[in-house]
Parts: sequence; C-alpha cells; structure tokens
Amino acid sequence: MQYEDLSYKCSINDYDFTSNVHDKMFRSPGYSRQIKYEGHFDDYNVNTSDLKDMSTVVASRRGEKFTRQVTENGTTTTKNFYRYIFMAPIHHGLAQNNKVLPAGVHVNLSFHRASPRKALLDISSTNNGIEQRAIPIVDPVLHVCWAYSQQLDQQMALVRTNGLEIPFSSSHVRHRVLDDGLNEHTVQISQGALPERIVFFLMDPAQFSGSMKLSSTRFSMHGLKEFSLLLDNEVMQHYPLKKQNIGDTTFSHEFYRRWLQVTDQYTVNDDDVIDEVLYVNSNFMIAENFQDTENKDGVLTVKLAFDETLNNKLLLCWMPVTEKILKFDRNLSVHVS
Amino acid sequence: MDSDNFHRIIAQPPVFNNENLLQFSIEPNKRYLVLGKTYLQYQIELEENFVPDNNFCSKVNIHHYAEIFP
Repeated sequence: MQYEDLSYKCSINDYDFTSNVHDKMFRSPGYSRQIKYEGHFDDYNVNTSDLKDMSTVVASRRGEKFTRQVTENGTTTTKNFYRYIFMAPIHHGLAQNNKVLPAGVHVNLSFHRASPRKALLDISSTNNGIEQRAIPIVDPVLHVCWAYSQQLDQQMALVRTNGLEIPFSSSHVRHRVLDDGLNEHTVQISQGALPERIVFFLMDPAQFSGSMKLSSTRFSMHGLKEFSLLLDNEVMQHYPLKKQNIGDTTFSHEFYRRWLQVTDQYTVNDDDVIDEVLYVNSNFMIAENFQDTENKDGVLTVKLAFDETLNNKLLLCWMPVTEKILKFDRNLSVHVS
Repeated sequence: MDSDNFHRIIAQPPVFNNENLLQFSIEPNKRYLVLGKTYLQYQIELEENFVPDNNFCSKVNIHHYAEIFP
C-alpha cells in the first residue's frame, strides 16, 4: 500500500533537538517548568558533574519513591526507585495550531527507541550504567483526540470535490565538525531557497553521541567570540554578533539580545524569560528569521571566530525550519510537497 | 480551525512496545483527527542513581515516524 512518510530523520538527535529548540523558542520558560509531566523540569541543562552538587534540582526532578528487591550476583538487596508518569504531546508540524486531518485516513505513529544514555544522567559514583537497550516504557497509551461538528462536516465535505491542503512546519537537525587547531571557521549552510527560520548551536561530539555524564541539550558558547551570518557572501543585517571582553569581564549581550528579539521575547514585560547567565551557560542558541527577508534564496554561510584555537573538535549544529504542505486529493490520496 | 468543535478523546494501546519500537496505529474514523490534542501517556521506573534530563520525553525515542495512509 502506498503511504506518505511525514518523518524527519537526519540524525539520532532530531526528535530531541527539534522539540527542545521549538519549546525554547515558542513556549514560556515559566510555563514549561510547570509541566513536569511532559518531561520539562527546569532551565538547568547541566552535566552530571554539576548536577551532583545541585541537590534541590535533583530533588525537583524526582518522581514517586518506592523500593524493590533486586538480586545481583546472587545477593538480594533493597534498592530505591522512582516512578514517573509522563503525558507527552506529539512533536510534529501537523500537531501545531490544532490542525485537523480529514476523516477516513489511517495514521501510524512509530517511536524508535533511543539508548538510555540520551535521556538519563548517572549521578552515582560507581559508573554502573544501565543494562537495557532502551528505558522500558510501562503501560503506554495514546490518547487520540477526535474533533467533530456540523461546521467541520461542511468544511470537510469540500475535500470530496476540491481536495485539501494542510501547511505545516518541518524541521530537522544538521551538523558539521569544526576541526581542532583553528580558531576561525567558515561553514556553508545551504544553497537555494531560504528556510523560514534557522537556529544554530554548538556542542561537544560526545554530547551528540549520547552519554550518561553529559546532557545532550546543554548548549553553550564553547569560547565563541564572533558569529556572522552571510547571504551570498554579504554579512546580513544584525551581524556579526560579538562577545565583548573588557578587563576580566566578558559581555555576551549581543547574542542574548538577538535571541530575545528573534524569539519575540524582547518586549515581554514580565520576568518570564531565561536570564542571560542561563542562556549563555546552558541554553545558547542563535536564531534567525527569514520570513521578512527581501531575498528568498541564495547561499547561506556562517563564519565563527573563537577566543582561542580549538583544542578539540566541536560540532556546529543547525535546525532549518521550512514549510511543507500535506495534500489530500478528492480520493484522499496523500502526498507532501 | 479546531476551536469551535466538539472533542472526544479515545485511549488506545500500542501495536508494538519493545526495546526497539513503540508503535500506534490510528484507524480511520468518521471524525477528524487532531494530533495537537493527542498525547502519549506512560510510566517509567528509574533506579535512584539515574536522574531524568530535561526534555526527557523527547529523549526516550530517537526518531518519530508519522505515516499517513489513504
């Protein structure tokens, strides 16, 4: 049977990074902290080395405590466990803005399981690791929402004559290795049509691969001094973004200010934004919006300069967001353009 | 498009739940599917040595496939 695949899968981190970046851009941090049942706990994307000393943060991430008898090497001991109940939304462009699919279509949702190294931080001193290939999911249930109304019936009746087009945002994550031994790098990002928006972030290759000692979503500056975005070899407006060093003090205001502007958080009147220290240390992203750009295509390049020569390889990751259209014809045959 | 409509939530079990794959098949219905109000509920049990990272629910899985059949 023919079907249309609406997935995005460029790297092992696509689902993790795209949902994390989307939440950071479009959800209030204060709201995210209130919905622990979706797996958001706090704004501290920290590694195990830091988390061990943050007992309050660890306590706030804990679920309901219980004990269990565990037999290891012939010895039975009682161990403490924590139980969590999660209620997670579907992260997909078709799940944004309450889009409605026509009646009579069959949808398969498949979640390919990740290694426990991606989702867990091991705060023990023994480095035991975890034996399972994936964290066991207990009693999973999909709560499927169906809409109905006379008005919707009338709107959808037109599908049988005109078909239906549903626009949705699609995003994925790409990355490039920045070699050690250099302190300046130029990376071509894309050629052709520009995406609606794009988000850049840096990370250690070990983070990208997954480690129980490292948080995969700890995005930090890694000594970045200057970042330029170029379209057809011309530096775009608002760039370069520069870190300023005055005396012993470093100011990263230009990066933080641009982040707030692009994510529409600059004019928010309350204090419900990630503060600059947390942005720089564990939520560092550079976002740009091309929806109001005069040129809609061209060669997109970034130039990065670091404080010092890179001692180790680093990954430049980017997440382009493009609009796709899910088209149903009047026979409900479906394709994406 | 959905705000003026009535809604009905139907809970359904997975087709597969193993260490490789968690899969759900949403069969055709005379009503209209709203993925934005659809959610996945499950339990996790963790030994006390392990703390869940932020964005936990999106780190339990690598890829997310959504396939639409006519």
